[in-house]
Amino acid sequence: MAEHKLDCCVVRDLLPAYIEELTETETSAQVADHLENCPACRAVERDMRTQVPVEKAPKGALNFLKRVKRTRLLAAALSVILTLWCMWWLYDQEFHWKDDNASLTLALEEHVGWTDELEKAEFQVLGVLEDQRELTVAFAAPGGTENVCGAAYFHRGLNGQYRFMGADFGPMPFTGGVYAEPLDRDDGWERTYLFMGVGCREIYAFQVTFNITELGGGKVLRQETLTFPVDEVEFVLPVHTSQVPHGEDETVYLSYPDKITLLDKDARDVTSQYRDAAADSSWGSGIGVAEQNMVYVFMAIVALLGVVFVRYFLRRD
Amino acid sequence: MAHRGEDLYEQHARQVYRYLYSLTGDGDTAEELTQETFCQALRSLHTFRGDCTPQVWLCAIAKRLWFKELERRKRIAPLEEEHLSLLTAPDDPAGETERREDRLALYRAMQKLDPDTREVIHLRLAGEFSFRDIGDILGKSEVWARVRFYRGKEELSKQMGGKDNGGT
Repeated sequence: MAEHKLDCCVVRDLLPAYIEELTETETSAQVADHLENCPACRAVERDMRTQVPVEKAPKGALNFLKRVKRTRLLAAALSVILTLWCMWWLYDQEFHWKDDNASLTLALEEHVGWTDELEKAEFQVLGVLEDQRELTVAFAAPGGTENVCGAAYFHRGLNGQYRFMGADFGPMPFTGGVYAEPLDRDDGWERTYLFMGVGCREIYAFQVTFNITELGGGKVLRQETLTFPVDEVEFVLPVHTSQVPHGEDETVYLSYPDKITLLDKDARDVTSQYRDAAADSSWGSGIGVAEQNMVYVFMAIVALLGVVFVRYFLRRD
Repeated sequence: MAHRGEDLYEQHARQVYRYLYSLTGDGDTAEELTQETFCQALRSLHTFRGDCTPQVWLCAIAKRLWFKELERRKRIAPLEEEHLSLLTAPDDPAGETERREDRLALYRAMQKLDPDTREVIHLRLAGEFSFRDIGDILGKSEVWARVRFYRGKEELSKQMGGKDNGGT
């Protein structure tokens, strides 16, 4: 290789690339050849290959972003929990009442007690009928101007508690006795009448007279009288129209029972003894809840806020 | 610009950290300044024109911040053997004194190099950057970085009195 003898300065220029093994094989061979015969250049090469004990940057020291991510994830999770809790709270406020007398009494005071007729009344739950998710509460409300009786309707929610849906009520024309309220869950002409007894200490039975009325004409064709025994001072008795014999004729219907007769233990008519002179039987009242979907609107707003927060915390920027 | 902050961070945080570690020789300082660098970068992301790579841009910000930090430290306490921590920590107490002297010698030798060469050596050895990256960061070529590195080592070796530092 003597014919390709390299100068020292060229070798020194080539050394960095030579050390990195970036030079052509032929060049490398020539440099190596030169180094073998040139102690000065060998010293330079050795110097260039010196290991400088500089500490390397530590790996994995950078956890700032992870920390930020964890914080954001935590915040997002908290938002989800808070949102769900708020939604549940709203739902629980709406479906608030339990199926027990104390809770239902409070519900009646809150939802029905504000009406003019019942302002000073004290509510008394007479009985409860449950049909799937619907709860019908028969109540008496003495203490106002009249003895008011009625039925309140509740609907069971997912939390096993009830929301108030509405109520129908009216004055009982007796100081004690029996009041009839048709349930609003009627099924064509067939319906359930709820008979409520209040203060029936000396009353042992009551008779109800149903009018069997012609459809369309409204003519009363005949009357059907049924007698029901009374076992308790306060009671609730649901009677479906199908229990009242009125034939299979579809052109007739059972109208509202227009006469209730109270009987004592000897089956004597004592109705007049219980007649309440102060009662004005000409009214009946009903209330319903207009904004039944408001709770869902509020829940949707909360959910939307929750989504906004979660998206904010999980944003990529 | 298509650079979103988090992507920028994920792609370049380690490089910026390594760069700052090369400059400062201190993990905590490097980490702190890395956060600060990205804070500044995010704030002025809209001014980034893309006429250099994001890495070069970020390193420029990092360097500026480190100089600012140096100014601040100088005002508080005069900068003494700051770069000593760059040198390998002793794991053999018996030879510590000797090594400490070695480290001091290396430190002093390093100080005698011109700043560019010193930076190249730190970037290469502490930051483990490629010569291409070093060239980019310093606005020079890959070849320039490689030659600087080996010339620097040669000079260091001479400065330290040709002492055998375990040449390969």
